[in-house]
Amino acid sequence: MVFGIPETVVAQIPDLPGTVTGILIYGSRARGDAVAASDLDLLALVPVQLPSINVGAVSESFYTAAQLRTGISSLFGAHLKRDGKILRDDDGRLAAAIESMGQVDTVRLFSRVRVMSELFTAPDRDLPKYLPGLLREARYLLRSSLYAQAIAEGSPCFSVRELAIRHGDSDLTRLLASRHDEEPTVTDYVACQSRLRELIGEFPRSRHGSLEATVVNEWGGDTDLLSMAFMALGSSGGGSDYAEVEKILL
Amino acid sequence: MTDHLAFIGDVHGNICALRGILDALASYEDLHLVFLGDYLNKGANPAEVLELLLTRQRAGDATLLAGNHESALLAALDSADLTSFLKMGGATTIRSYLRRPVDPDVLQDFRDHLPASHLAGLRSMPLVWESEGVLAQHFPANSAGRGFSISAHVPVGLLPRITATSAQLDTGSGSSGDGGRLTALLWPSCNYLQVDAAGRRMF
Repeated sequence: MVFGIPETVVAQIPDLPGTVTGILIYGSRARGDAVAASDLDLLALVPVQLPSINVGAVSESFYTAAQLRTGISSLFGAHLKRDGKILRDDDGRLAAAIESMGQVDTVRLFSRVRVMSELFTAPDRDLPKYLPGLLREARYLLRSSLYAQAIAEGSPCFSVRELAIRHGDSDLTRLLASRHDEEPTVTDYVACQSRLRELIGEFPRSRHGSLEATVVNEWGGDTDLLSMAFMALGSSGGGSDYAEVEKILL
Repeated sequence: MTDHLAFIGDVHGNICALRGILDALASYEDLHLVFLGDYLNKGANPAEVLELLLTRQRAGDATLLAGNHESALLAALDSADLTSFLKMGGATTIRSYLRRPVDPDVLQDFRDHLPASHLAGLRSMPLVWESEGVLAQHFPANSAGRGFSISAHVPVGLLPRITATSAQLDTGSGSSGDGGRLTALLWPSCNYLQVDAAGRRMF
């Protein structure tokens, strides 16, 4: 067993592409505070961008060195630097990339989250069709904002369970879990949004009037809002037919 | 036998490349053009690309096969669900028909501005062209026993891949980065012509 990861989980790790030159484990499995239902989060360094793989309890994301550089001063980078454990690093570049992550710019993070939250303000048109994607993103923005708040207050924490305890908000653990087997609900969506508003204030009014119009009108602009809108279309399908937009690294 | 057919790979919205390849092919007499699909998305001008191609088709000197991007557009219109088409980069196609910010109801706005002639053209595109021992289609397929196979869809780098039995012609037109090239394969010689993203003739 590596890092106390159960063999049943290790057995689910998919075969990795031959181009991978480094692998890092992060999240609760790396911190050692995983529970039975926790995912195994892996990051692999690759020369050319590949779509993520989710198999069973294993989530495998692929990053190029250039993509990792966009994580400098980000929450994601700080999280990797604080909790990540390198399993393999053929040429030392993964360790170098993680080492360069630096401190989180929480002011910048909150301002980016505020920009992205514009996506939540056309609910009449979007919720019937895109609730799963929007709820996933509301979770992501709330979780990121809570992490950033903890850092800004001088007591970093990348554990949802510990955040729930700190905030005396027992619902947070379930609300923010990265994996959900139940159907997405508007109740959870509203619950994430009201907590997010407490952290960043009112969301900007939707300028495009719908998620689909946001994708079309922002296309080619390389903006956080476009990345958010595009990802909210859903992750099903995948494959080489689909266009790529920049990943969001908060 | 002189060349009398030209097969052209994925255009993907690059009107400059399309004009460039048509110019380059204009010096050949009595050449019939077979376009292998994927006229839409990626590059900025799918509407102009389709307009020009349909003009050539009406003139009788071009055949337009359907690619998966054309099929995805029709599927989106028929199912009233744009999600998959948008995930394939359909935004550039929608923008090229509107030339202004799209309304919140994207599907309706797009339907209102897609010319009937373009829709009819898209619906009439065959998947396969077969003649004189040549089988041409968008997707690479095993054509064993059916002659020389010509396809596109799968990017093969900046140069086409040509063997004794097949040719693959998606040389990246409309893609970001270097912008790729647009390739025409001449038949029966199997010589090829290329233009870059700006429509300039290569070599």
